[in-house]
Amino acid sequence: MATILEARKIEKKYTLGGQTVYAVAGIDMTVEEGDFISIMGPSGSGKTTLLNLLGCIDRPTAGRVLVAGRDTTEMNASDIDRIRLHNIGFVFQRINLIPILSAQENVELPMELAGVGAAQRHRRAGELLDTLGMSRRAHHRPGQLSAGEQQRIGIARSLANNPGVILADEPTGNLDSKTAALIMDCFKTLNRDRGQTLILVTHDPDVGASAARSIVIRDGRLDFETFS
Amino acid sequence: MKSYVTLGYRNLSRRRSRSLLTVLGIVLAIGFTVGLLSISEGVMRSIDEMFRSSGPDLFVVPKNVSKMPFGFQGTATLKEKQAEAIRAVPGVAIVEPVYLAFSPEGGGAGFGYAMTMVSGIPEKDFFKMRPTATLEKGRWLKDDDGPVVVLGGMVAENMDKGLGDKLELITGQKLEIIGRLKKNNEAYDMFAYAPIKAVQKMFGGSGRASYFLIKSADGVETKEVAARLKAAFPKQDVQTMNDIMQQAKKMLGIARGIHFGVSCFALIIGVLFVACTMIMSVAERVREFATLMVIGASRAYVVKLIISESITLSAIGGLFGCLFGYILSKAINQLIHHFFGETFFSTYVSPRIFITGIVIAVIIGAFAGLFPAYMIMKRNLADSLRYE
Repeated sequence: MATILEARKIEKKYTLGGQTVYAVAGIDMTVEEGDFISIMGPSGSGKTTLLNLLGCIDRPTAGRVLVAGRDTTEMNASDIDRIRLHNIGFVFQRINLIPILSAQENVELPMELAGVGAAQRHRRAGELLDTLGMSRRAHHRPGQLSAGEQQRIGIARSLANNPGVILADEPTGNLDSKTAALIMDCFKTLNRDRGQTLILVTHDPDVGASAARSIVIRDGRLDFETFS
Repeated sequence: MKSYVTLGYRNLSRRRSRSLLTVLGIVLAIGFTVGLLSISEGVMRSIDEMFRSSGPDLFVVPKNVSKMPFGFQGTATLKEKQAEAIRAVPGVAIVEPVYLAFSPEGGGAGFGYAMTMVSGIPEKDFFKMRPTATLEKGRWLKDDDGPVVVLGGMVAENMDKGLGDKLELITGQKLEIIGRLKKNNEAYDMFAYAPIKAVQKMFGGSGRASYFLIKSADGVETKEVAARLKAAFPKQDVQTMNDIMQQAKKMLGIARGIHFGVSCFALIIGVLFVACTMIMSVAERVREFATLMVIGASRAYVVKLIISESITLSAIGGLFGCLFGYILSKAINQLIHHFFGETFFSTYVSPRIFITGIVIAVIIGAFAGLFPAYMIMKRNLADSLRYE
C-alpha cells in the first residue's frame, strides 16, 4: 500500500502569557492508502490542531508533513494551496458550504478551482451527488437543506477532485444521532467500496469505533493506538 | 463565467439593501463628478467651436494687455489710421479697428448679468470679416450714424428690448437700437455694434482704437501674417486666435482642476462607502473565505473574489452615476439658462467624461476592496475556520 500522508515528529507550539504551550508535541504518524483512521481524545488534547497540520491548513513549528511523498515543510503558499486542492478533501463540523451556491455548484467549486472543464465538472458533481443520494437536491441552496443533507453535500465536495485522503473534523458533531449514523454510513461505504482513505477527528467513541484504526491523543502526544 | 465573478455578484444580491445604499453613494459621487466635469468640458468645447468658426483670426493690441483683446473703455491707445498700415502688410485681407465700450445691461459675453461689450466699428467689411453673420431685424450701421447700436444675436436674446429702445453705456450715454443680428452661436453673437466714430465721440477718443481685428487672406498661413505684423509693429502685440484659445483654455484648465478637486471629495466619500460595505461583508464571511482557501482556492483567487465584488458594486454605481451626471449636467444647463439667460456655452458630457466616470468607479472599487482583502489574507487560516 502506498503512503498517502506522513507526519514526522510534528510539533505545534504557542506562546501564551510568556509560557510555551504544545498543542501537538512530536507526533509520528503514517497513513496508508485505504486507511480509515479516527483521531480521538479529550477536548483540548490537540486533535483538531493535528488534523490542521496533516491537512496543511496550519504549519508545524517543528517536524515534517509529507503528502503523497512530498515534503510540505519548505513549500510556498501556492504549492500548499495546490496540495490542498488536489490531494486532500476536507469535511467540517460546521459543514461550511458556500450559502449562495447550490448543492451542485458547491460540489463543482473545487473542480473549477482545479481548472476542470464545465462539462466534466457537471458530470462528476452529478455522479457524486448520486452516490450520496443527493441528486434530487442538486439545485437547492444549503439554507434549503437539512443539516444531514448539507453534510452529505460537504462530503461530495470533499471528493470532488478525487483526493488521496479526506480529513473530517467532527463531521457528526452538529448532527442528531440518527443523522450522524447516516453520515458515518456514507464514510464507511466510501472507505469500503471505493477504498477512500479517511481520517476523522471525533470525541464520540461510537464514531471512533467505525474506523479500522483509532489514535488517541492526550496533551498533544500520542497516547495509544488501537486496530479493529 | 469565472466563479469569483459569480460569487461576487451573488454575494451582493444576498445583502440587497446594503448593496443598494452603497451603489447610491457611488451614484452620487460619480454623478456629481460627471456633472462638474461637464461644465468645464462644455466651456472648453464652446470655446473651441467659437474660435474655430468664421471671423477674425488675428488681433493687434497694445503691448502688455491680457491675451483676450478686451482693452478697457477709455484705454483706446492705438491710432485708428494704423489700420491702413496694417492693411498694407502682405497676407492681410481685412482690418477692422475697434473702439470698445461697455454697457451694464444684460447679455454680455453670454454670462447674463455681465456687462455687454459694445464694439465701435466701421460700417464696411463687417460681413466680409464674418461671412456667416446676417441681419435678422432692422438695419446695419452707417459710418455717419449717431449713437445707434446693432445687437449681436445672443445679446439680443438676453435683453427685453426691441428696435427703437435704448442701450445704456456705463457712462450713462445711450445708444438707440436699430437692428439685431441672427444668433448663430458664433463669437460675434456676444457683442453689440456701434459706429466707431460715434463711440469715439462719446468718449473723446477721436481717431483712436482699442485694438484691430484682422482677417488674413485666403491660402495664407495666419502664423506667417502674425510674424510679419510683429516685425512691422514691434511696439504692439500681435495675438492669433490660437494664442487666445490656448490662453482661455489655460485659464479654464485651472477651473477644471478646481472642479476635479471638489469632486475628489465626493469620490473619497465613495471609496469610504464601498470600503465600509466591503469590510462589513468580509468580516461577516471570514469562515467562508477560510473554507474557500482550505478547499484549495489560492490567495489570489480570494483577493480577486473580494476585489471583483467591490468593483462590481462600484461599477454599477459608476454606470448609474454617469447617467445621473448626464441628467445633472442637463439640469445645470437649465439652471444657467434660467438664472443667466443665453450663454455662449452649455454643459457637455463627452464620451471621455463617461469613460472617466466608469474608470474612476472601477478604481474606487479596486481600492475599496484592497483593505478587506488584506484583512483576510493576514488572518491565520486555522483560526479563521473557527471564526464565529
